[in-house]
Amino acid sequence: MALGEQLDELSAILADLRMHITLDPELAGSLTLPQLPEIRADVAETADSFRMIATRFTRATVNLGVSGAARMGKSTLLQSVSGLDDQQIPTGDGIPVTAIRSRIFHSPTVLRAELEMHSPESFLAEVIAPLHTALSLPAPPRSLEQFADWSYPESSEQTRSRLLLTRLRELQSALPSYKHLLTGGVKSVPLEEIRPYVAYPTDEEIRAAGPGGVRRAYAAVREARIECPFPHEHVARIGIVDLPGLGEVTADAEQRHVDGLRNEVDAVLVVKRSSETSSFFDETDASGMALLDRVRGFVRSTGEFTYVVHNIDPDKPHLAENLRGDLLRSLNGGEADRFFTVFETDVRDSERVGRDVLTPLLKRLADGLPVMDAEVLAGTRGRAGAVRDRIRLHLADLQRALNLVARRAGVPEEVNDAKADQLRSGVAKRLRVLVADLAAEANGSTDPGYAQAVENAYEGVLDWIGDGFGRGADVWRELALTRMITEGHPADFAGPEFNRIRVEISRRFAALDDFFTDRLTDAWDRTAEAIAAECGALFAESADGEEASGQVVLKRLAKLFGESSQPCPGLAAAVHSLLDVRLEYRTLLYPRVRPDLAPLNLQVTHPDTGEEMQQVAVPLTEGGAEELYGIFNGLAEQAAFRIQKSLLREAAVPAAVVHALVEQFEDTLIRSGTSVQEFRRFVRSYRNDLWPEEFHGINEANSRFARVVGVSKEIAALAEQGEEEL
Amino acid sequence: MTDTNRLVFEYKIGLLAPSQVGKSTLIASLLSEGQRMLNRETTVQLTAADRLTGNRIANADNSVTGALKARVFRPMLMPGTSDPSWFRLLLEPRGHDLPIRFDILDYPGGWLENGGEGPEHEQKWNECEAFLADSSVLIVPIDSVLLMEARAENAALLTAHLAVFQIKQVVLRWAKNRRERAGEPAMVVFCPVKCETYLSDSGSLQDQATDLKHQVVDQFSEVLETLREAAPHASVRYLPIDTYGCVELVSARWVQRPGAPGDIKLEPKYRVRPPGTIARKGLEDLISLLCRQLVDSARMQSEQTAAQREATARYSREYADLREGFFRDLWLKVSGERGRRERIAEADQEHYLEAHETTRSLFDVLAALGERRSSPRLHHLS
Repeated sequence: MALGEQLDELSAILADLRMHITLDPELAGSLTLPQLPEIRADVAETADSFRMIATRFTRATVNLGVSGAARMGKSTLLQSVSGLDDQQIPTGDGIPVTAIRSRIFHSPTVLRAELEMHSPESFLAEVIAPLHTALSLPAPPRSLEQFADWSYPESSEQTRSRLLLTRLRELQSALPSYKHLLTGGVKSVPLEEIRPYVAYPTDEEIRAAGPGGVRRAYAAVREARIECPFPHEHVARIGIVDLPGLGEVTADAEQRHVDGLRNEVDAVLVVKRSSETSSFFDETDASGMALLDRVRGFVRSTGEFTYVVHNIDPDKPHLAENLRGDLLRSLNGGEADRFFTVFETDVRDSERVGRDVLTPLLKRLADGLPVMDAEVLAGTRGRAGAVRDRIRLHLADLQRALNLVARRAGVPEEVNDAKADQLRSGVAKRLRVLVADLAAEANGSTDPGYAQAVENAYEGVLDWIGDGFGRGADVWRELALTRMITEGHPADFAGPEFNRIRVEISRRFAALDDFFTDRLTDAWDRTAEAIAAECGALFAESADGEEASGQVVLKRLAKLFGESSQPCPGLAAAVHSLLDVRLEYRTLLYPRVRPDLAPLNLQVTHPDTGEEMQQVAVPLTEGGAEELYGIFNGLAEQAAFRIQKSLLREAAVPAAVVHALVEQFEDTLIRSGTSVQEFRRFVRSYRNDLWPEEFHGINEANSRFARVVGVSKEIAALAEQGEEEL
Repeated sequence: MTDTNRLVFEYKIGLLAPSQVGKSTLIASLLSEGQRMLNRETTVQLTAADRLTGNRIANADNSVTGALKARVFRPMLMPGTSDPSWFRLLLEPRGHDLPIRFDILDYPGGWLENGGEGPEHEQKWNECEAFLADSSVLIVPIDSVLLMEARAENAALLTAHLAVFQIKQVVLRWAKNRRERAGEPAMVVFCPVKCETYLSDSGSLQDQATDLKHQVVDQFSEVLETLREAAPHASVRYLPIDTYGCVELVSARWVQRPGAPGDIKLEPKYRVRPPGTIARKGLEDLISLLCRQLVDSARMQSEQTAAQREATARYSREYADLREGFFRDLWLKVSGERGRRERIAEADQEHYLEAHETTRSLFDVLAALGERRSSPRLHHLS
């Protein structure tokens, strides 16, 4: 998308964003680009400049504009250059004859005229409306009928106005003669018939027409393009542009003159005739030259762009002498061709025109055109750079305003804060209830699940003991006997066997871990449920309809806290702490039951005396093995029983730990120093996910905001890209 | 005591416990251990007062010793007591013919729990109750395993299984009785039995002495309160006793037992701690305690008797020496009345001296028994 269009879009979406209900008015006021229209115009102009440069650089011909006041021999010069005669390019003494702009191109084979016709609309807008404006008349007619019926004053006191009014009335009265020509599009006419389309009617024609009025076909023509073979050698690629004369009394004549020349021509020939009435460079000429400066555009050297053709009448050399001297003084400060090159010729003499004007001019242009091209390019680039800088400046201003909006994020802070406080207190309430429930569970009767888990583990151990410590009673006794006999004493068997049994009993009680996992999972589930209940749609059911586990929800919550656009490290840490906890028999209860396993050793220390006592002293016989089995059985079963008893004494521990855990979580989440602040940040970041219904409008505001940000970025990128390309 | 003037010391010792606590075993242990212990002493000796008692002691001792030798100990297999029986024992200071007889009543523990367990035993239980109320010393054996191993879920049944309420009733009656006889000895000994699992001084690898005492005081708090109110002068002691010393609990679980409180019963399983030698801690303390108490009671009784006899002897002497006028005195001499009075006075003096001597002897025995220091197991609860 072009830069201009992007700017237009930016303007539109900014207006859109400003209009949004959730935006506070003060902030909305800052979301403007006050100079956008000017920037837009600058951009358009720059774009035009580049387009024209492109045209200039791709033009196949060297275009020469012919300028000058009326009756200076402009048309005669054109005839001499193009080889056309009075039928095609009208000339006349004393009155202006060129009614419309003509562009004449050399074509060795083709001879044709193409007329770009006005439509009724363009006729009214480009011909009638400027006359109305110049005459300070009311709004111009909107249709040809209105124009035909328009009641114009008979006369005006001001000379210029009178003349313009005359023109207008002539056009009105002659409307029937050209109305049918207002067709728009292009009309081809034979060259010999072109005159009425490009020239004002002559006095003879006016008179001959009588009261019925003369035909004014030229009024229906916007521009004429003529192709014909030029009579000069080496002028293959030349085009000339004929313009209505400077100083001619028409509405916005000067503007039309400039518009007709700008960037369309590579050089302008200003024709000045030495005559009885005009043998010096007068004020009209000076303002005409000044006007050409505007045409020149970025071409720095005026002398390379504007040339003066001194139209000499060979029969009146004294007049030529006067003007020559005046041109030398007025234009070139007394030094020939100092600022402007002056070609002297008799414009009626085609050959002289070729020799005196075209040949030296084209030579000059051969050197000057590349320089002028470079100047035009540099000038356009400079202009584009200025526009780009201006765009950047305003985008920076806009960005500051957008940042402010972003900080408030489309929602008044108090609304955000209220929602955050509501969320926090809602979660706090639910967690308080949960903590109270957990406290009641911790202080209440023994968790039957725990007692059952302990009982199951105990029975498992007893079964294992009853099964000859996992080996079968007979095998165990046999093994014991063999080892005792082999080693000569029971210790070598009993020592390792005590170790094995001790480890195994402990391992089997570690089956309680399943219970702990269940309790922890339950705590996570209940905590997650409490939080999710306050979090609106944030933890709504997953797409597959399966309810996420508490652990999954809490992990997601921690992630959301962690990845929040505004950081919530304290809240994230609280959730992580809750999730990182492991309840294990090994760490939680093993220290409590470890003393119960102490008797399962070959040697034991008496608690009172500190005396080391050997637990096994049996004969090395089958009876001894049986007795040893009995001793092991008794001790193992006793250890298992005592562990069971110790564990049941600790029945409150799991519930107490879970209670403490959730209470600590609640404390950190709700009452840490940064809790209030982080809840607000959390809500700022996720309110649309939390309460999509409620913040629908804000969503929309956010999307509008996002569009503004997006387009701003695109504009900045386009500007940067343009810079690189330049 | 056939001689009416001879001092007779007879005391009753009552045991208060429901069934399966080990009353019979305690009595048997008390006697056999008491005999062994006191035979080592020079001051007193303990003997069975009759053959029946001797046989019962021998039988109880044999069954326990046999079980220990077999490394198997299942208290549930020990026969319960079906009828009341009296163990009669004699405590005799050596070198003195001062036998102190004490009777210990054994009865079916179920009777305590259920008031005689039906009409057919009611009369017998009434007799038992009378005996218990009249006892100088009440021993309250408590099943320490039941006390220590009853888990939280069965805590509510523990009071019933310990028969705390029934014990309180008997103790109340006993206390009132004792208060009426304030001059007589009064002692209650709370004796957790089967304590070898929980006390490290008997070889256990764990020491739960404090916890055990706490449990006793806690569970029997109402009984203690009753004692403090009804018989404040009574001495209340706490003395945990090993039943065998070499037996320790392996496990205990509640099993269905219709008729028991909650229809469940705690079934313990024991192991015999090698080498299986009986070493009953606490029992000697109980014997010493009983001996001291009984000898002290006898001494008090003897002192009272001696005081009475001294007064009688003084009166008799004064009466014998009384001058009632010439003629009257002449008549007393002639009629032989004076001589009779003299003889009475001399006899009374002799009785007094005899009682005095008995008292002195009992003082000596008591002093000798007092030299034996009590173990740390013994505590005062009042």
